[in-house]
Amino acid sequence: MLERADIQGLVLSGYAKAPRARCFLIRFAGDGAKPWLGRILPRVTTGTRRERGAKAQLNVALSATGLRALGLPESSLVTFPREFVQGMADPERSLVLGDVGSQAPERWEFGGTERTRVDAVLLTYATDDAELDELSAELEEDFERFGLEVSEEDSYLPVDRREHFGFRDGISNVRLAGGFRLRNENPFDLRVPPGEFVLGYLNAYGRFPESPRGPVRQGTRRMPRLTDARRAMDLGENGSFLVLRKLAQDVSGFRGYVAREGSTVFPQDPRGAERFASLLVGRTPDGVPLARDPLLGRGTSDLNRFGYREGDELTTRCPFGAHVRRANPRDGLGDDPAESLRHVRGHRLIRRGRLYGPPLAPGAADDRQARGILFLALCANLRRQFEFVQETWLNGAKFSGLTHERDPLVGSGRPLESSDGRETFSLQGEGMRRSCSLERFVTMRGGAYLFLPGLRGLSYLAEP
Amino acid sequence: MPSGVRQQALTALLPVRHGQAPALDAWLVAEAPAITARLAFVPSLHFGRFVLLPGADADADADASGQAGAGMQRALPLVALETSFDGELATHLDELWAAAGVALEPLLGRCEGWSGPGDAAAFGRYVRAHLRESAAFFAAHPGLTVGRVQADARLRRALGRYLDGHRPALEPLEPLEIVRRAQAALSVAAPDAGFELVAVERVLTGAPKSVVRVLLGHALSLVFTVLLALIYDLSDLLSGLWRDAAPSAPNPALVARAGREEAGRLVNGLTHVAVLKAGSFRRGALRLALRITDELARAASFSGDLGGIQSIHFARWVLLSDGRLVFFSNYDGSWEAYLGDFIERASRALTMIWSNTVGFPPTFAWVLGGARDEAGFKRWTRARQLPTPLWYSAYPELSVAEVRKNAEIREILAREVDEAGARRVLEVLRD
Repeated sequence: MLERADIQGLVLSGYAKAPRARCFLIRFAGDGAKPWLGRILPRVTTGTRRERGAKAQLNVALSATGLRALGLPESSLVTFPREFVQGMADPERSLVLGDVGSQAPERWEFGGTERTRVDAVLLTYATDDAELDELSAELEEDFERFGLEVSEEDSYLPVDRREHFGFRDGISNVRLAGGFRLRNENPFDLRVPPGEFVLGYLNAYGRFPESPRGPVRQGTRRMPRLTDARRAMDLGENGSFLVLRKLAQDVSGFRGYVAREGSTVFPQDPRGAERFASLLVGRTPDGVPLARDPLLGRGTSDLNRFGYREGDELTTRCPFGAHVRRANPRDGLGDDPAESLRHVRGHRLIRRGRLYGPPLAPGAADDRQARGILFLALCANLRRQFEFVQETWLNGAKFSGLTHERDPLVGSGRPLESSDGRETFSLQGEGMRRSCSLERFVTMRGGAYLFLPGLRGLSYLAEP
Repeated sequence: MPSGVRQQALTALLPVRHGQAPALDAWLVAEAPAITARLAFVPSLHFGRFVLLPGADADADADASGQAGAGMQRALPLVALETSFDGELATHLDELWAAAGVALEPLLGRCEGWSGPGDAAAFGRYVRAHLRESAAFFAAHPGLTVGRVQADARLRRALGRYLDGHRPALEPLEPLEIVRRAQAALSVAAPDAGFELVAVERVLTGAPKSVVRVLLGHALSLVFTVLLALIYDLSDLLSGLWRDAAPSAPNPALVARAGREEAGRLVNGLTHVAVLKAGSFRRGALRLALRITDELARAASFSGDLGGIQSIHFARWVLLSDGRLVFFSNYDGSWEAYLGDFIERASRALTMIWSNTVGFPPTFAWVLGGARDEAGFKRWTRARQLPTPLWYSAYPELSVAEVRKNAEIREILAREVDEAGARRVLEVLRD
């Protein structure tokens, strides 16, 4: 059983009832960090049903530099995962994540350099802008009082659930194992044990995730439980790791590209651009998976109920390199569908991303407005989950029998010798494959690796 | 049909002169780019590395349960010269010396028994004097020489470019006709374009054999070892009652070095040193595990699939006389993905081997547990891994699957193409 009252609400809910979000990127200065954390602590939304359904929510996450500023000793920081301590902008992480060239940390708006360091992230959610402003006004008073340097990133849940390129998003999100077993379980998207996302529970390997430790402390509030023969406290329990990435989208560039390429691939079809864009994504704009047999799939309302083996054995419909296929290969890796599903289960993420910037109306000219996705993902193991998906699936040149391609939407990395100096996206079919030229319209603008502690963990960190 | 060439493993363990290990380590880091650039001129070299195996007191390797390492003698610092190569050892050594010999003098000069400046003959004698057989060896694409692997990759790219360039004319045609036209065009281009459309005889390292047959061949020893292991487990359990188990902790500086070496590479090298537990039972069990693994590995070279893992180009275990068990491998993708494959697909076989070494995660009945402990196994592997700054691959952007598929394309195009072959070529060529 999940200890919902000690888990931050964002882990268990996407706060669909609070479509407006403001993310405060905080840089600690002076010694205000601890008292500030203590002050917002009572307002943090937990995972109990009543709280996360409320009108305004607030969650708080900390980076390694933030934990250090809160006075956590080095002996404790080394018990955090190496990639977390290094931070997302570390040169080694950049190579792993493909954050090189135009995507490199030096070019980010935040999180990439010491000057734009992110120590903490305060995530707030409300039903409308007025409420959000009201909440922000109170929080901003505290920022000033405790001497914190803060910048804001606003985001929202679109009414039509479509991201800026025009595709329905967030269809496939993780379902946790446990609870009631439905009669009609989705065979192509196995439920995932909670320990893949929350520390302190069994994970996909049937083990407890590694959890960071802190020195034993007495406190006025409830402290984390003792561990290691009562020599340390389990700072990780009910906590999660949070990945933040701001991905800018050049919508008008993307539309121009799919129109050009679409008219080449489907010269007779007036909807060629949309068809081509759907091939890049692996779903239609309405979210219908291309891999699903249109005849068999008719009448199936669950857009998440499909596999790449069943119905698309020959891959005449969904390209091997399509975005949703790389992000969640389901039963399609290797020779054994069941083994593929089990393998995939160890590399899932809970996604809590939202859009920023106004949508660009269909057919509208480029308005030069900033827009994109404020990507948020939760996991218990940054290396095995987030980084693996990024490195081996999305940016993996050798994904599923391909040799030199990367994800057509978000892929990046150092150019490969074998790609002959140009990026491609290939369509496979009954005859010869078609190699289309690929252009990039998504740019990494900032990010951070954060830890979203449980409530007792937060109390521990806030304790003077 | 040109006959295939046998791929072999060279492991030479060169003793480091007293006190020279730190200098050698620094030299390997500093000179790695220069030496690997020279190794590109060794035509027989698939993968290679020079790696420092530091010396250690056997006592320092005592694990949490107080079990010392084999401790037959103190482990001395060694430089391992490890290569996977084509053809005859003598030719390979001559080529190594010709390409990099003089540049290697500072390294050899820090090893015992080398009197430089040397020549090819002296180098050959010196390396041969320090050879160590692999206890188990795996090669994923046997019979393919370095030149062949590289030429096949050029062939694949040329085929892709041909299809792209002639799309309007080819698109309406049937697969057989498409591939026949490509075949005709490529065989004209071949001599100058750096590839050949020839069939090559495959030279395998062993006969294809099922896992069951290999295990049956050792049935008695296996049963005996499992039973003995159970007795050992029981005694461990009893002794564990009053001992606190502390997991082996990786050295952060070494992990950082390995992490930086690996990041962003498509193909990687792993060097890993475990220390045999004390006692003749462990030694016997390890020998048996390695013998079985070797047989399985030789059989697996048919499919390029070692115990369900299809991402290893070459791998070997080498057991040193001082009780150290060194694992060298060259694999596709990231360390994280590689270890994930170990845990999900090959945990039994790996546990069978490494459960006999110090600090390995707890096992039961010799083959259970162990590598199934994801976090513990990854931590242990990192703790035992060595930085490998001087590592070389002749084809750093080619995966095992790609090498094999490129060869398959060549084999099909080298002969009269039939319907099935044509479809296979088009299916394999996914991008």
